Amino acid sequence: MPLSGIKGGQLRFFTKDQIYSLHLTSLNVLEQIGVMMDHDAALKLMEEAGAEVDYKDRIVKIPQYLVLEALRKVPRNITLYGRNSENDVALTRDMIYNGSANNAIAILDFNGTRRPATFKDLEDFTRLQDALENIHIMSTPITAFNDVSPKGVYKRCYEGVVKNTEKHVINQADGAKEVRDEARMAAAIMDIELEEVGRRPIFSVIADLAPPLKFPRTIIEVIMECAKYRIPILLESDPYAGGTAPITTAGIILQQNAEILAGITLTELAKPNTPIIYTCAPMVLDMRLGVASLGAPERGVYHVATAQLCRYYGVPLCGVAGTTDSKVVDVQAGYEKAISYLMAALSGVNIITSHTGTLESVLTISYEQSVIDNEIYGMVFRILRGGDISDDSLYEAFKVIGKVGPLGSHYLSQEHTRKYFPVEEWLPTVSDRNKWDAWVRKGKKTALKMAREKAKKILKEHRPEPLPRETLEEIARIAEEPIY
Amino acid sequence: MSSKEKLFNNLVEAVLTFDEKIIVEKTKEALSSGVDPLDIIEKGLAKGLKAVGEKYEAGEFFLMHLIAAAEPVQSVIKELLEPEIRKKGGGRKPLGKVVLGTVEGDIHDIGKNIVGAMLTAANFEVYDIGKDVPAEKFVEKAKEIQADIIGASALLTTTLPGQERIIEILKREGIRDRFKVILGGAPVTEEWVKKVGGDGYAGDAVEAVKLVKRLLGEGE
Repeated sequence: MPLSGIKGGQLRFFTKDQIYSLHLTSLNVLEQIGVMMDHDAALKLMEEAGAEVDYKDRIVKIPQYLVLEALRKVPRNITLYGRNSENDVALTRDMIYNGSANNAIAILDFNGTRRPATFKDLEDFTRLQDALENIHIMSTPITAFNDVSPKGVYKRCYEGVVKNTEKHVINQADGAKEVRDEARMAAAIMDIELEEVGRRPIFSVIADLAPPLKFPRTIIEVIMECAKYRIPILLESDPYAGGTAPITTAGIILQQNAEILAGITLTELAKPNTPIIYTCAPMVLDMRLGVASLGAPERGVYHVATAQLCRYYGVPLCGVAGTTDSKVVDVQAGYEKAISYLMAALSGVNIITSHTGTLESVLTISYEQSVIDNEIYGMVFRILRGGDISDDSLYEAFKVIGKVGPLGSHYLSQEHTRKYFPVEEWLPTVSDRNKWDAWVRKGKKTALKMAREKAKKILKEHRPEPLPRETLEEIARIAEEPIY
Repeated sequence: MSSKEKLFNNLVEAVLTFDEKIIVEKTKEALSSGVDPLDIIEKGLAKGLKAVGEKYEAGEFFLMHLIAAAEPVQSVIKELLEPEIRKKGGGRKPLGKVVLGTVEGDIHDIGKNIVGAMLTAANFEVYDIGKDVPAEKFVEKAKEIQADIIGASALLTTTLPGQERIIEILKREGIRDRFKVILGGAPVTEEWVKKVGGDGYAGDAVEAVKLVKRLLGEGE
């Protein structure tokens, strides 16, 4: 039984005409301005297909028909597979799934000190977040360690993550060899041949291009290699409004869309029908400090616009929300994360890479915040579920009101209450709803305290289904090979 | 106001328009009136940048104003004024010389460019060697121009070793103490800089300028 997402996408800011204009202008950007692709084979492939290529500056100008043809070849529904089918995720229109943390480099410890991460922390945080019921897909919570070299770090991360979750894993890779090695690891885990990995890919890979309008060499390598094995690609653009993209909503979404459409064109030319997830992480450049913000409210608007575009294209969307610029588990972390997550969910971002537990624009990761974030997702999912106002539900309500009536005092003993309580009422696990005296009597527990207890309990008890010893040995061997 | 003063005033005003055309025009005007190119920088352009910097500190201006003023001034100094200064056999007296680049394998350069513009605005001579630059190139350039500071930027965790390599090369060549090495980029931390033996780290461009001043004993 695959995981079922929650229907989102109830929010629209823009008209169909505005979205269509955005699409047409993106085609103009690609045809008249072009993108830089730092990869000989890619330039040749684009030229043979009919694009205009300047080999000196490595600029590709892409005619409209090529982009439109490529869009037709992108699979409309993608399934991301888990190690077992209970964790499969079907990305269909407007269904929302939640991803885990990704890319942190430091730990905010239980005692409030920030320290560099070790590889053991990656395993701990994967295990912790694997146990949270509102996380459907795993990424790599941490990617920089003081006890593991950055060379070939992504497949080492895959080894650390896949041991501690049965969910689908979103990986990264530094070039073709690392993609291939990760595919070999997945084949070993599934006990299949390398060539069969694409039939039921248990991992996907982020290809993170460099705004404005640049495709670095290693990223193109990653795209080509994933296409070869039919591993799903998260084609990601992460511009800063006012920094690496125009400062207006129209400008940043236009450039981001042109960038991802160029990636889609290249991918589908390399191998038609390669599964692609349109991935956006637009940020805002803070004009006082010169740092990119992930807690900025503008990002909510960007998600609405991008989700409307993806709905028009019919391709699945992954976004980054539920993030904060706060350094500690505090009020700022709470309001930035909640608003940003709610906006992405209401926009209809299919995979919300929520960077669970992270602070400091996803650089730091916290145990308590991981558990608190899970609470935020639960609240948002409850909102997405909405309410059922139909002839039936109104008639039932009318009947029960009639039963209690003006002479009655409450609905607690009504069967109607018992029947609908599980559907209607969401119960918190870390938020406290006691009144003052009871709260004092029970130990003045704040959400932070509750989350700390819960995180410690999970770390002590949660053990995901282990991999067989010979599989572990094999993936460790592949993870340790050099990638160059 | 003497005619010279008026020319300097025009230069300051030109910087505040953020318009490269006007800055070039006023610079050429001053040159053809026989004003010393070093004075054009010190009493005109640098003064204009200082005014922009003060407005930034006061919260009236923002990052984009700093950069929009610093970038055209940077290119005017490089293309118009430095050739003139060399012709006269003179040299600028900047606060210090800085080599800046993004390390090998990394083409993210917005952070490095912002730091470069801010350092220029603070009267440092900046040599930007671009992005995706091998460690050897940083060292070569630093030796060639007798830099005070080497600044290396990285956005990807996988390219961080490129920063370490710069310091390794300096040690190998026995010239580690000749330059201060500063490191920057989102994944860079104090711990990382300590670990690889760098001289300093700043989280943002404003901090970076303060760091460079501190390292060169210029005070705040």
